[in-house]
Amino acid sequence: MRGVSSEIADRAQLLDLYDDALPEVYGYLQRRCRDRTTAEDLTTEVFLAAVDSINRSVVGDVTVAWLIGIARHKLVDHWRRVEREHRRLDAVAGSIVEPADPWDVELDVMTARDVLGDLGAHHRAALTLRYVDDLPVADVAAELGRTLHATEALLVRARSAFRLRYEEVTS
Amino acid sequence: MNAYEQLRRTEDLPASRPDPRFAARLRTQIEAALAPTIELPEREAHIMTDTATTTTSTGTTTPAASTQVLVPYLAVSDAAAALDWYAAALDGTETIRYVGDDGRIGHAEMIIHGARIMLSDAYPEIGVVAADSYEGSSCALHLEVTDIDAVHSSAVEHGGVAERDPVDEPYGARTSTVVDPFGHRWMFSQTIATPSTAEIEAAMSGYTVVEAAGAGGGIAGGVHGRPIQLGYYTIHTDDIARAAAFYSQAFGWDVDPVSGHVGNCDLPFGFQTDHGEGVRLWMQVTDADPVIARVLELGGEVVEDVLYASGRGVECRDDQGNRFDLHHPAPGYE
Repeated sequence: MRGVSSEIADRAQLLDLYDDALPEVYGYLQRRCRDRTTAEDLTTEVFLAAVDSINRSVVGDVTVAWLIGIARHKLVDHWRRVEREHRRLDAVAGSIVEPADPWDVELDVMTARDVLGDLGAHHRAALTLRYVDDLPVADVAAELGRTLHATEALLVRARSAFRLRYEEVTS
Repeated sequence: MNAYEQLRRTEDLPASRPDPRFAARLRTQIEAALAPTIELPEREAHIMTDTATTTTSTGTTTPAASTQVLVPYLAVSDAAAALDWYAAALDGTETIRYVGDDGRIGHAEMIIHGARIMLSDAYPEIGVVAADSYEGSSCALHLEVTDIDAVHSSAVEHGGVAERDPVDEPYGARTSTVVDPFGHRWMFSQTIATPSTAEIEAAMSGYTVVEAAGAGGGIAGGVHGRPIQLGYYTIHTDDIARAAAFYSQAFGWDVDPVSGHVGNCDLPFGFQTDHGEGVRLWMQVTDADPVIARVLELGGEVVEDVLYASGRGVECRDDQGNRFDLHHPAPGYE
Protein backbone atom coordinates (compact mmCIF):
# COMPACT_ATOMS: atom_id res chain seq x y z
CA MET A 1 0.00 0.00 0.00
CA ARG A 2 1.42 3.35 -1.00
CA GLY A 3 0.79 6.73 0.52
CA VAL A 4 -1.99 9.15 -0.18
CA SER A 5 0.34 11.58 -1.94
CA SER A 6 1.33 9.03 -4.61
CA GLU A 7 -2.36 8.27 -5.11
CA ILE A 8 -2.99 11.94 -5.85
CA ALA A 9 0.06 12.02 -8.15
CA ASP A 10 -1.35 8.99 -10.05
CA ARG A 11 -4.70 10.73 -10.47
CA ALA A 12 -3.04 13.78 -12.00
CA GLN A 13 -0.81 11.57 -14.13
CA LEU A 14 -3.73 9.61 -15.57
CA LEU A 15 -5.49 12.82 -16.63
CA ASP A 16 -2.25 14.24 -18.06
CA LEU A 17 -1.68 11.01 -19.94
CA TYR A 18 -5.24 10.74 -21.20
CA ASP A 19 -4.94 12.66 -24.49
CA ASP A 20 -1.86 10.68 -25.55
CA ALA A 21 -2.98 7.36 -24.14
CA LEU A 22 -6.51 7.33 -25.51
CA PRO A 23 -5.59 6.92 -29.23
CA GLU A 24 -3.06 4.23 -28.28
CA VAL A 25 -5.47 2.20 -26.18
CA TYR A 26 -8.38 2.73 -28.53
CA GLY A 27 -6.18 1.95 -31.56
CA TYR A 28 -4.91 -1.25 -29.95
CA LEU A 29 -8.47 -2.42 -29.30
CA GLN A 30 -9.96 -1.17 -32.55
CA ARG A 31 -7.31 -3.00 -34.63
CA ARG A 32 -8.08 -6.22 -32.82
CA CYS A 33 -11.85 -6.14 -32.67
CA ARG A 34 -12.53 -3.96 -35.74
CA ASP A 35 -15.87 -2.79 -34.41
CA ARG A 36 -16.11 0.81 -33.18
CA THR A 37 -18.73 0.26 -30.50
CA THR A 38 -16.87 -2.69 -29.01
CA ALA A 39 -13.61 -0.73 -29.11
CA GLU A 40 -15.25 2.20 -27.31
CA ASP A 41 -16.84 -0.07 -24.69
CA LEU A 42 -13.57 -1.85 -24.02
CA THR A 43 -11.62 1.45 -23.94
CA THR A 44 -14.05 2.73 -21.30
CA GLU A 45 -13.56 -0.48 -19.30
CA VAL A 46 -9.78 -0.06 -19.51
CA PHE A 47 -9.75 3.49 -18.19
CA LEU A 48 -12.29 2.84 -15.46
CA ALA A 49 -10.28 -0.19 -14.37
CA ALA A 50 -7.20 2.07 -14.29
CA VAL A 51 -9.09 4.59 -12.14
CA ASP A 52 -10.18 1.79 -9.84
CA SER A 53 -6.59 0.58 -9.43
CA ILE A 54 -5.43 4.13 -8.68
CA ASN A 55 -8.20 4.64 -6.15
CA ARG A 56 -7.25 1.36 -4.48
CA SER A 57 -3.53 2.28 -4.61
CA VAL A 58 -2.49 -0.87 -6.41
CA VAL A 59 -0.62 0.79 -9.27
CA GLY A 60 2.99 0.51 -10.33
CA ASP A 61 3.61 3.20 -12.91
CA VAL A 62 0.84 5.03 -14.73
CA THR A 63 2.03 4.55 -18.33
CA VAL A 64 0.60 3.75 -21.75
CA ALA A 65 2.22 0.28 -21.52
CA TRP A 66 0.35 -0.37 -18.27
CA LEU A 67 -2.93 0.67 -19.93
CA ILE A 68 -2.24 -1.56 -22.96
CA GLY A 69 -1.71 -4.44 -20.54
CA ILE A 70 -5.15 -3.78 -19.04
CA ALA A 71 -6.55 -3.51 -22.58
CA ARG A 72 -5.18 -6.97 -23.39
CA HIS A 73 -6.97 -8.44 -20.35
CA LYS A 74 -10.19 -6.71 -21.34
CA LEU A 75 -9.89 -7.98 -24.91
CA VAL A 76 -9.39 -11.56 -23.72
CA ASP A 77 -12.40 -11.19 -21.42
CA HIS A 78 -14.39 -9.89 -24.38
CA TRP A 79 -13.38 -12.81 -26.59
CA ARG A 80 -14.17 -15.23 -23.78
CA ARG A 81 -17.70 -13.78 -23.58
CA VAL A 82 -18.08 -14.06 -27.34
CA GLU A 83 -16.71 -17.60 -27.26
CA ARG A 84 -19.22 -18.61 -24.62
CA GLU A 85 -22.00 -17.43 -26.90
CA HIS A 86 -20.65 -19.58 -29.71
CA ARG A 87 -19.85 -22.79 -27.85
CA ARG A 88 -21.15 -25.05 -30.56
CA LEU A 89 -18.86 -23.58 -33.21
CA ASP A 90 -16.00 -24.32 -30.85
CA ALA A 91 -16.84 -28.01 -30.81
CA VAL A 92 -16.70 -28.16 -34.60
CA ALA A 93 -13.46 -26.18 -34.77
CA GLY A 94 -11.93 -28.55 -32.22
CA SER A 95 -11.93 -31.36 -34.75
CA ILE A 96 -9.58 -29.56 -37.16
CA VAL A 97 -6.09 -31.00 -37.44
CA GLU A 98 -3.11 -28.90 -38.56
CA PRO A 99 -1.78 -29.95 -41.99
CA ALA A 100 1.68 -31.49 -41.85
CA ASP A 101 3.28 -29.38 -44.58
CA PRO A 102 4.86 -26.06 -43.57
CA TRP A 103 3.01 -22.96 -44.66
CA ASP A 104 5.38 -20.20 -45.70
CA VAL A 105 3.40 -18.10 -48.18
CA GLU A 106 3.61 -14.30 -48.29
CA LEU A 107 0.43 -13.12 -46.51
CA ASP A 108 -1.61 -10.24 -47.81
CA VAL A 109 -1.93 -8.11 -44.68
CA MET A 110 -5.45 -6.79 -45.28
CA THR A 111 -6.76 -10.25 -46.09
CA ALA A 112 -4.98 -11.68 -43.06
CA ARG A 113 -6.64 -9.13 -40.83
CA ASP A 114 -10.07 -9.91 -42.29
CA VAL A 115 -9.54 -13.66 -41.94
CA LEU A 116 -8.50 -13.17 -38.33
CA GLY A 117 -11.76 -11.29 -37.79
CA ASP A 118 -13.75 -14.15 -39.32
CA LEU A 119 -12.39 -16.75 -36.92
CA GLY A 120 -14.05 -17.91 -33.73
CA ALA A 121 -13.20 -15.73 -30.74
CA HIS A 122 -10.99 -18.38 -29.07
CA HIS A 123 -8.89 -18.86 -32.22
CA ARG A 124 -8.71 -15.16 -32.78
CA ALA A 125 -7.61 -14.58 -29.19
CA ALA A 126 -4.88 -17.22 -29.37
CA LEU A 127 -3.47 -16.01 -32.71
CA THR A 128 -3.68 -12.34 -31.77
CA LEU A 129 -1.84 -12.79 -28.48
CA ARG A 130 0.75 -15.16 -29.93
CA TYR A 131 1.45 -13.49 -33.29
CA VAL A 132 0.05 -9.94 -33.37
CA ASP A 133 1.05 -9.11 -29.79
CA ASP A 134 4.09 -11.40 -30.21
CA LEU A 135 3.77 -12.97 -26.74
CA PRO A 136 5.58 -16.21 -25.82
CA VAL A 137 3.25 -19.22 -25.58
CA ALA A 138 3.58 -19.23 -21.78
CA ASP A 139 2.28 -15.64 -21.62
CA VAL A 140 -0.55 -16.46 -24.00
CA ALA A 141 -1.47 -19.32 -21.68
CA ALA A 142 -1.41 -16.98 -18.70
CA GLU A 143 -3.61 -14.42 -20.45
CA LEU A 144 -6.11 -17.06 -21.52
CA GLY A 145 -6.05 -18.84 -18.16
CA ARG A 146 -5.19 -22.17 -19.79
CA THR A 147 -2.36 -24.61 -19.22
CA LEU A 148 0.65 -24.47 -21.51
CA HIS A 149 -0.32 -27.76 -23.07
CA ALA A 150 -3.92 -26.72 -23.70
CA THR A 151 -2.70 -23.45 -25.18
CA GLU A 152 -0.34 -25.21 -27.57
CA ALA A 153 -3.21 -27.42 -28.68
CA LEU A 154 -5.44 -24.39 -29.11
CA LEU A 155 -2.76 -22.66 -31.20
CA VAL A 156 -2.53 -25.71 -33.47
CA ARG A 157 -6.28 -25.61 -34.05
CA ALA A 158 -6.28 -21.83 -34.46
CA ARG A 159 -3.51 -21.94 -37.08
CA SER A 160 -5.36 -24.64 -39.00
CA ALA A 161 -8.57 -22.69 -38.93
CA PHE A 162 -6.75 -19.57 -40.07
CA ARG A 163 -4.96 -21.33 -42.92
CA LEU A 164 -8.14 -23.08 -44.07
CA ARG A 165 -10.06 -19.83 -44.13
CA TYR A 166 -7.20 -17.86 -45.73
CA GLU A 167 -6.81 -20.37 -48.54
CA GLU A 168 -10.57 -20.44 -49.02
CA VAL A 169 -10.72 -16.65 -49.33
CA THR A 170 -7.68 -16.28 -51.62
CA SER A 171 -8.33 -19.25 -53.91
CA MET B 1 9.22 -16.48 -42.71
CA ASN B 2 6.47 -18.56 -41.22
CA ALA B 3 3.15 -17.28 -42.56
CA TYR B 4 1.64 -16.89 -39.05
CA GLU B 5 4.50 -14.71 -37.92
CA GLN B 6 3.51 -12.23 -40.61
CA LEU B 7 0.31 -11.59 -38.63
CA ARG B 8 2.37 -9.11 -36.62
CA ARG B 9 2.25 -6.85 -39.71
CA THR B 10 -1.52 -6.34 -39.23
CA GLU B 11 -0.39 -4.01 -36.45
CA ASP B 12 0.93 -1.61 -39.13
CA LEU B 13 -2.54 -1.19 -40.62
CA PRO B 14 -4.05 2.15 -39.66
CA ALA B 15 -6.47 2.21 -36.76
CA SER B 16 -9.27 4.75 -36.63
CA ARG B 17 -8.98 7.65 -34.21
CA PRO B 18 -11.33 7.73 -31.23
CA ASP B 19 -14.45 9.81 -31.87
CA PRO B 20 -13.92 13.22 -30.15
CA ARG B 21 -17.35 12.99 -28.51
CA PHE B 22 -16.47 9.60 -27.10
CA ALA B 23 -13.10 11.00 -25.94
CA ALA B 24 -14.81 13.93 -24.14
CA ARG B 25 -17.43 11.66 -22.57
CA LEU B 26 -14.84 9.22 -21.29
CA ARG B 27 -12.66 12.02 -19.90
CA THR B 28 -15.65 13.30 -17.94
CA GLN B 29 -16.32 9.79 -16.65
CA ILE B 30 -12.69 9.42 -15.58
CA GLU B 31 -12.64 12.81 -13.89
CA ALA B 32 -15.81 11.96 -12.01
CA ALA B 33 -14.46 8.57 -10.97
CA LEU B 34 -11.13 10.06 -9.91
CA ALA B 35 -12.54 12.97 -7.94
CA PRO B 36 -12.18 12.40 -4.25
CA THR B 37 -15.64 12.08 -2.76
CA ILE B 38 -16.70 15.46 -1.50
CA GLU B 39 -19.52 15.62 0.99
CA LEU B 40 -21.66 18.57 -0.01
CA PRO B 41 -21.94 20.88 2.98
CA GLU B 42 -25.22 21.09 4.78
CA ARG B 43 -27.38 24.04 3.87
CA GLU B 44 -26.63 25.78 7.20
CA ALA B 45 -22.94 25.63 6.38
CA HIS B 46 -23.34 27.77 3.28
CA ILE B 47 -22.18 31.35 3.40
CA MET B 48 -25.04 33.31 1.94
CA THR B 49 -23.99 36.59 0.44
CA ASP B 50 -26.86 38.72 -0.69
CA THR B 51 -25.12 41.01 -3.15
CA ALA B 52 -28.26 42.32 -4.78
CA THR B 53 -28.39 46.04 -5.26
CA THR B 54 -31.96 45.71 -6.45
CA THR B 55 -34.97 44.35 -4.62
CA THR B 56 -34.44 40.88 -6.07
CA SER B 57 -33.54 38.23 -3.50
CA THR B 58 -34.00 34.50 -3.09
CA GLY B 59 -37.24 35.06 -1.26
CA THR B 60 -38.85 36.48 -4.37
CA THR B 61 -40.04 34.08 -7.01
CA THR B 62 -42.33 34.74 -9.91
CA PRO B 63 -45.84 33.67 -8.99
CA ALA B 64 -47.42 30.98 -11.13
CA ALA B 65 -49.13 32.57 -14.07
CA SER B 66 -50.38 31.58 -17.47
CA THR B 67 -46.84 31.89 -18.81
CA GLN B 68 -44.01 29.76 -17.49
CA VAL B 69 -40.37 30.75 -17.83
CA LEU B 70 -37.50 28.30 -18.03
CA VAL B 71 -34.42 29.60 -16.25
CA PRO B 72 -31.12 28.36 -17.69
CA TYR B 73 -28.86 26.84 -15.06
CA LEU B 74 -25.27 26.99 -16.24
CA ALA B 75 -22.44 24.80 -15.01
CA VAL B 76 -19.12 26.56 -15.45
CA SER B 77 -15.55 25.57 -14.69
CA ASP B 78 -14.97 28.65 -12.52
CA ALA B 79 -18.21 30.13 -11.24
CA ALA B 80 -16.60 33.09 -9.45
CA ALA B 81 -14.78 34.11 -12.64
CA ALA B 82 -17.96 33.58 -14.66
CA LEU B 83 -19.98 35.84 -12.33
CA ASP B 84 -17.33 38.54 -12.77
CA TRP B 85 -17.33 38.09 -16.51
CA TYR B 86 -21.11 38.21 -16.93
CA ALA B 87 -21.19 41.33 -14.76
CA ALA B 88 -18.51 43.10 -16.81
CA ALA B 89 -19.26 41.86 -20.30
CA LEU B 90 -23.04 41.50 -20.26
CA ASP B 91 -23.91 44.08 -17.63
CA GLY B 92 -25.25 41.37 -15.34
CA THR B 93 -26.29 42.02 -11.74
CA GLU B 94 -25.48 39.28 -9.27
CA THR B 95 -28.32 38.72 -6.82
CA ILE B 96 -27.07 35.88 -4.64
CA ARG B 97 -24.36 33.29 -4.28
CA TYR B 98 -23.93 30.20 -2.08
CA VAL B 99 -20.29 29.38 -1.37
CA GLY B 100 -19.66 25.80 -0.23
CA ASP B 101 -17.07 24.92 2.40
CA ASP B 102 -15.02 23.30 -0.34
CA GLY B 103 -14.68 26.70 -2.02
CA ARG B 104 -16.96 25.90 -4.92
CA ILE B 105 -20.00 28.04 -5.69
CA GLY B 106 -22.93 25.70 -5.28
CA HIS B 107 -25.50 28.15 -6.56
CA ALA B 108 -25.62 31.73 -7.81
CA GLU B 109 -28.13 33.91 -9.61
CA MET B 110 -27.86 36.90 -11.90
CA ILE B 111 -30.11 39.20 -13.84
CA ILE B 112 -28.79 39.89 -17.33
CA HIS B 113 -30.74 42.38 -19.44
CA GLY B 114 -33.85 41.56 -17.48
CA ALA B 115 -33.39 37.78 -17.81
CA ARG B 116 -32.61 35.55 -14.87
CA ILE B 117 -29.88 32.91 -14.99
CA MET B 118 -28.58 30.53 -12.36
CA LEU B 119 -25.14 29.02 -12.32
CA SER B 120 -22.77 26.93 -10.27
CA ASP B 121 -19.33 25.43 -10.42
CA ALA B 122 -19.04 22.00 -11.99
CA TYR B 123 -19.77 19.05 -9.70
CA PRO B 124 -18.57 16.17 -11.91
CA GLU B 125 -19.08 13.67 -9.07
CA ILE B 126 -22.84 14.15 -9.43
CA GLY B 127 -22.87 14.60 -13.20
CA VAL B 128 -22.86 18.41 -13.28
CA VAL B 129 -20.29 19.06 -15.97
CA ALA B 130 -19.08 22.44 -17.26
CA ALA B 131 -19.80 23.42 -20.87
CA ASP B 132 -16.10 23.73 -21.70
CA SER B 133 -15.61 20.02 -20.97
CA TYR B 134 -17.25 19.37 -24.32
CA GLU B 135 -16.37 20.42 -27.84
CA GLY B 136 -19.27 22.85 -27.81
CA SER B 137 -22.53 23.67 -26.13
CA SER B 138 -25.65 22.11 -27.60
CA CYS B 139 -27.92 24.59 -25.88
CA ALA B 140 -27.73 28.29 -26.73
CA LEU B 141 -28.87 31.11 -24.46
CA HIS B 142 -31.20 33.34 -26.45
CA LEU B 143 -31.25 36.83 -24.95
CA GLU B 144 -33.52 39.65 -26.13
CA VAL B 145 -31.74 42.99 -25.94
CA THR B 146 -32.55 46.54 -26.98
CA ASP B 147 -29.12 47.46 -28.35
CA ILE B 148 -27.57 44.39 -29.86
CA ASP B 149 -24.52 46.09 -31.33
CA ALA B 150 -23.46 47.46 -27.94
CA VAL B 151 -24.11 44.17 -26.14
CA HIS B 152 -22.30 42.17 -28.81
CA SER B 153 -19.24 44.48 -28.82
CA SER B 154 -19.02 44.43 -25.04
CA ALA B 155 -19.10 40.61 -24.98
CA VAL B 156 -16.38 40.40 -27.62
CA GLU B 157 -14.22 43.10 -26.03
CA HIS B 158 -14.27 41.13 -22.79
CA GLY B 159 -12.98 38.01 -24.49
CA GLY B 160 -16.10 36.34 -25.90
CA VAL B 161 -15.65 34.77 -29.31
CA ALA B 162 -17.99 36.11 -32.00
CA GLU B 163 -19.34 33.20 -34.00
CA ARG B 164 -21.54 35.57 -35.96
CA ASP B 165 -21.54 39.35 -35.93
CA PRO B 166 -24.93 41.15 -35.74
CA VAL B 167 -26.97 40.79 -38.91
CA ASP B 168 -30.55 41.71 -39.80
CA GLU B 169 -32.61 38.57 -40.31
CA PRO B 170 -35.78 38.38 -42.40
CA TYR B 171 -37.80 37.06 -39.45
CA GLY B 172 -37.67 40.48 -37.87
CA ALA B 173 -34.65 40.32 -35.60
CA ARG B 174 -31.06 41.51 -35.68
CA THR B 175 -29.08 38.65 -34.18
CA SER B 176 -25.53 37.65 -33.33
CA THR B 177 -23.81 34.74 -31.62
CA VAL B 178 -20.98 34.87 -29.07
CA VAL B 179 -19.37 31.98 -27.20
CA ASP B 180 -18.32 33.18 -23.77
CA PRO B 181 -15.00 32.15 -22.14
CA PHE B 182 -16.81 29.41 -20.21
CA GLY B 183 -18.09 27.62 -23.31
CA HIS B 184 -21.67 28.87 -23.27
CA ARG B 185 -23.17 30.13 -26.53
CA TRP B 186 -25.23 33.32 -26.39
CA MET B 187 -27.59 34.34 -29.16
CA PHE B 188 -28.35 38.03 -28.84
CA SER B 189 -31.51 39.20 -30.55
CA GLN B 190 -33.08 42.59 -31.07
CA THR B 191 -36.53 42.92 -32.59
CA ILE B 192 -36.35 45.17 -35.65
CA ALA B 193 -39.59 44.31 -37.45
CA THR B 194 -42.71 42.20 -37.07
CA PRO B 195 -43.12 40.49 -40.44
CA SER B 196 -45.99 38.14 -41.15
CA THR B 197 -45.37 34.45 -41.73
CA ALA B 198 -45.86 35.01 -45.46
CA GLU B 199 -43.30 37.82 -45.47
CA ILE B 200 -40.78 35.69 -43.61
CA GLU B 201 -41.27 32.82 -46.03
CA ALA B 202 -40.87 35.12 -49.03
CA ALA B 203 -37.59 36.46 -47.66
CA MET B 204 -36.12 33.10 -46.71
CA SER B 205 -35.59 30.95 -49.74
CA GLY B 206 -35.17 27.30 -48.89
CA TYR B 207 -37.61 27.39 -45.98
CA THR B 208 -41.30 26.72 -45.72
CA VAL B 209 -42.59 28.45 -42.62
CA VAL B 210 -45.44 26.60 -41.01
CA GLU B 211 -47.18 28.20 -38.09
CA ALA B 212 -49.08 25.72 -35.93
CA ALA B 213 -52.81 26.35 -35.93
CA GLY B 214 -53.67 28.60 -33.00
CA ALA B 215 -50.04 28.56 -31.82
CA GLY B 216 -49.87 30.64 -28.66
CA GLY B 217 -53.00 32.54 -29.62
CA GLY B 218 -51.53 33.62 -32.94
CA ILE B 219 -53.93 35.62 -35.03
CA ALA B 220 -53.85 37.17 -38.51
CA GLY B 221 -52.39 40.66 -38.35
CA GLY B 222 -50.46 40.00 -35.14
CA VAL B 223 -46.98 38.78 -34.37
CA HIS B 224 -46.86 35.08 -35.17
CA GLY B 225 -47.58 32.91 -32.17
CA ARG B 226 -48.85 35.74 -30.00
CA PRO B 227 -52.10 37.60 -29.47
CA ILE B 228 -52.37 41.21 -30.57
CA GLN B 229 -51.47 43.41 -27.65
CA LEU B 230 -50.56 46.86 -26.45
CA GLY B 231 -47.51 48.19 -28.24
CA TYR B 232 -47.59 51.86 -27.32
CA TYR B 233 -49.68 54.30 -25.39
CA THR B 234 -50.00 58.04 -25.62
CA ILE B 235 -50.84 60.55 -22.89
CA HIS B 236 -52.45 63.85 -23.65
CA THR B 237 -50.64 67.08 -22.81
CA ASP B 238 -51.10 70.68 -23.94
CA ASP B 239 -47.35 71.37 -23.80
CA ILE B 240 -44.74 68.64 -24.33
CA ALA B 241 -41.89 70.80 -22.97
CA ARG B 242 -43.74 71.36 -19.69
CA ALA B 243 -44.65 67.69 -19.43
CA ALA B 244 -40.99 66.84 -20.02
CA ALA B 245 -39.89 69.18 -17.23
CA PHE B 246 -42.52 67.88 -14.78
CA TYR B 247 -42.21 64.12 -15.40
CA SER B 248 -38.43 64.03 -15.71
CA GLN B 249 -38.25 65.36 -12.13
CA ALA B 250 -41.28 63.50 -10.76
CA PHE B 251 -40.59 60.06 -12.30
CA GLY B 252 -37.18 60.26 -14.00
CA TRP B 253 -38.76 59.95 -17.46
CA ASP B 254 -36.57 60.82 -20.41
CA VAL B 255 -39.02 62.80 -22.61
CA ASP B 256 -38.04 63.89 -26.13
CA PRO B 257 -39.07 67.59 -26.14
CA VAL B 258 -40.12 67.49 -29.81
CA SER B 259 -41.82 64.11 -30.40
CA GLY B 260 -42.92 63.58 -26.80
CA HIS B 261 -41.58 59.99 -26.89
CA VAL B 262 -40.40 58.62 -23.53
CA GLY B 263 -37.26 56.64 -24.16
CA ASN B 264 -36.28 55.04 -20.86
CA CYS B 265 -39.28 52.99 -19.72
CA ASP B 266 -40.00 49.29 -20.29
CA LEU B 267 -43.25 49.82 -22.16
CA PRO B 268 -42.81 52.51 -24.81
CA PHE B 269 -45.12 55.51 -24.68
CA GLY B 270 -45.18 59.22 -25.41
CA PHE B 271 -46.98 62.51 -24.90
CA GLN B 272 -49.21 63.93 -27.61
CA THR B 273 -50.87 67.31 -27.97
CA ASP B 274 -53.39 66.50 -30.67
CA HIS B 275 -55.58 63.65 -29.47
CA GLY B 276 -57.84 65.03 -26.82
CA GLU B 277 -58.04 64.22 -23.11
CA GLY B 278 -56.74 61.07 -21.44
CA VAL B 279 -54.75 58.08 -22.63
CA ARG B 280 -54.89 56.20 -25.88
CA LEU B 281 -53.97 52.53 -26.13
CA TRP B 282 -52.32 51.48 -29.39
CA MET B 283 -52.62 47.79 -30.17
CA GLN B 284 -49.66 46.80 -32.30
CA VAL B 285 -50.40 44.89 -35.50
CA THR B 286 -48.26 43.60 -38.32
CA ASP B 287 -51.08 44.15 -40.80
CA ALA B 288 -54.13 46.30 -40.00
CA ASP B 289 -56.46 45.00 -42.73
CA PRO B 290 -57.33 41.55 -41.38
CA VAL B 291 -57.82 43.08 -37.92
CA ILE B 292 -60.13 45.78 -39.28
CA ALA B 293 -62.12 43.08 -41.08
CA ARG B 294 -62.62 41.16 -37.84
CA VAL B 295 -63.50 44.33 -35.91
CA LEU B 296 -66.23 45.16 -38.40
CA GLU B 297 -67.50 41.61 -38.49
CA LEU B 298 -67.78 41.58 -34.68
CA GLY B 299 -69.91 44.74 -34.66
CA GLY B 300 -67.13 47.29 -34.06
CA GLU B 301 -66.38 50.30 -36.23
CA VAL B 302 -63.50 52.24 -37.77
CA VAL B 303 -63.55 55.98 -37.06
CA GLU B 304 -60.35 57.15 -38.69
CA ASP B 305 -57.51 55.53 -40.67
CA VAL B 306 -54.40 57.74 -40.81
CA LEU B 307 -50.86 57.28 -42.12
CA TYR B 308 -48.41 58.96 -39.71
CA ALA B 309 -44.62 59.11 -40.05
CA SER B 310 -44.56 56.46 -37.30
CA GLY B 311 -46.89 54.17 -39.24
CA ARG B 312 -50.54 53.50 -39.86
CA GLY B 313 -52.94 54.42 -37.08
CA VAL B 314 -56.52 53.21 -37.05
CA GLU B 315 -58.99 54.63 -34.53
CA CYS B 316 -61.67 52.06 -33.73
CA ARG B 317 -64.66 51.44 -31.47
CA ASP B 318 -65.64 48.04 -30.09
CA ASP B 319 -69.25 46.82 -30.24
CA GLN B 320 -70.02 48.78 -27.04
CA GLY B 321 -68.64 52.02 -28.42
CA ASN B 322 -65.37 52.02 -26.45
CA ARG B 323 -62.30 53.43 -28.18
CA PHE B 324 -59.09 51.59 -29.06
CA ASP B 325 -56.44 52.26 -31.69
CA LEU B 326 -54.44 50.01 -33.99
CA HIS B 327 -50.87 50.80 -34.85
CA HIS B 328 -48.91 49.23 -37.67
CA PRO B 329 -45.46 50.73 -37.05
CA ALA B 330 -43.35 52.13 -39.87
CA PRO B 331 -39.82 50.66 -40.02
CA GLY B 332 -37.80 52.05 -37.12
CA TYR B 333 -40.88 52.65 -34.94
CA GLU B 334 -41.46 49.08 -33.77
